[in-house]
Amino acid sequence: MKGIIFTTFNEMVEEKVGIDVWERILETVNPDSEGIYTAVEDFPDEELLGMVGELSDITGTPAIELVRAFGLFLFHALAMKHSVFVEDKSDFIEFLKSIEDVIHKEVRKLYPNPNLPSLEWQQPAENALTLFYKSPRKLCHLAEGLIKGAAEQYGVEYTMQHDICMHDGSDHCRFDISVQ
Amino acid sequence: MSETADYKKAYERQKKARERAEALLEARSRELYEANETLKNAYNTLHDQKAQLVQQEKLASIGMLAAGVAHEINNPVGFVKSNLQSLQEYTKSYTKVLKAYRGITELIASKDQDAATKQSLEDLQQLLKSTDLKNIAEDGVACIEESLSGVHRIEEIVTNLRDFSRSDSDDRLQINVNDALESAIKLVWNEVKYNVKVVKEFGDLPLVWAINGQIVQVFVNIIFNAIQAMERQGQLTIKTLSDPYFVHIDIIDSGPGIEEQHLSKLFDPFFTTKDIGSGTGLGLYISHGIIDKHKGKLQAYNAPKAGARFRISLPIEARKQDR
Repeated sequence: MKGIIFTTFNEMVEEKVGIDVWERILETVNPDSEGIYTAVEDFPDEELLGMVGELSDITGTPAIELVRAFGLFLFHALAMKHSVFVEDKSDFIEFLKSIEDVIHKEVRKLYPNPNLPSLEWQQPAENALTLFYKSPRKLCHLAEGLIKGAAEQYGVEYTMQHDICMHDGSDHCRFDISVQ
Repeated sequence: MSETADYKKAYERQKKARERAEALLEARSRELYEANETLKNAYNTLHDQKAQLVQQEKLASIGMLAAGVAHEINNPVGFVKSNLQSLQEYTKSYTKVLKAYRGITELIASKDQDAATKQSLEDLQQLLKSTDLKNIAEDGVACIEESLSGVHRIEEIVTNLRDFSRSDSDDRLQINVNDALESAIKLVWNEVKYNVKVVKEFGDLPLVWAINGQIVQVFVNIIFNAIQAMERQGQLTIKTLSDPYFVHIDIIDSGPGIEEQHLSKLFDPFFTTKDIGSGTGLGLYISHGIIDKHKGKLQAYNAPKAGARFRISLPIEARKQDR
């Protein structure tokens, strides 16, 4: 998994619950990387999952909720760092449509093997979008948080249904999004 | 300020420094990616242009060979035409004789036969004497045989020319170098047949993986150069031999040899000692490129007793994937 996910997770923990909690997490999880994360390296998925689990234990918040919250935080961090992708798109739906072909394409330029999820889309109506998420990591709750972050960024209210899910045995997740 | 606050500030600074370093690294990576893409595109363009150049040079060789090839085709066409005219005459004679025979058989079958039959038999004998059927039969067979061989020659020339002019695919096949040499010699035959003695010393060779059309192109180039260097008279010796690693082809002419100062430039693009218009100056450059692509060697020397010697060495073990 890309290092930026880890550095951002570190930032979120420090910001929301404090640096001492981050230190406790590292002490308990004891990752091979020793918690020395840089945005440009890759780190094992297990380290992040272990840290999320530990954070869930410490805060008493369900892991799924934490992953969702992290998705939201991650979106704003990425949008600040790479604002061009947000500025380039005029609205929320156009932005979601550009993830696969624009953002992921740019990521591949920097990292030859980034193991990105695939995110195909269909647009049933002008104010609606269906996203089909596929990833062996099954981080669809992270995607939910990211989508929420994008909606906040563009200042829109939306509803989303996530009826088909990889966690229920499907080979993909389906997000039906409607802008209010 | 407390110590903790100092550490916090230092920590924040270090974090910012790390982020800046990461951003720089990403920017450099992007630049590198873009530079690499540009290079890849330039490489592909060059690669395509080189393939085009090979084909253009081949077409230029065909231009130079065209008069000779036309002559080579014209010669058998001439005698095939003359044979067909003879056969046309012979057929007329056969028809006449057959007609006379038919008349006699009809008369024999009829009742009143004596006088008329006698007369017809006399006529037939006269006709047989004047048409010389025996000779016609013998010559007719010869005409057909000769014509067939002439047509076969034309077919061979046209096939060689077509194989040569075809734009090569990159598919390598196992080829017999001696056969490729024979094809090349046939293509330039009109240039050598009268005043150049061609001595072939072909050894038994293992097959090599090669693009046949391109190898023939190299042979045609070098043989054609040799003939031009000898001003179309002398001796052209073509030897083939092999060692455990390579098949070697020596093409040796009895011309004046290569001037020392030209030896190092022979394979440069556009280098030519020929008059303007009689060569593109790309033949040896492209030949060198083709042999290089086959992981072989093309070298030029001066043969000990005057004349130039070109040695082409093709690796025996170069397999299909070695491109």
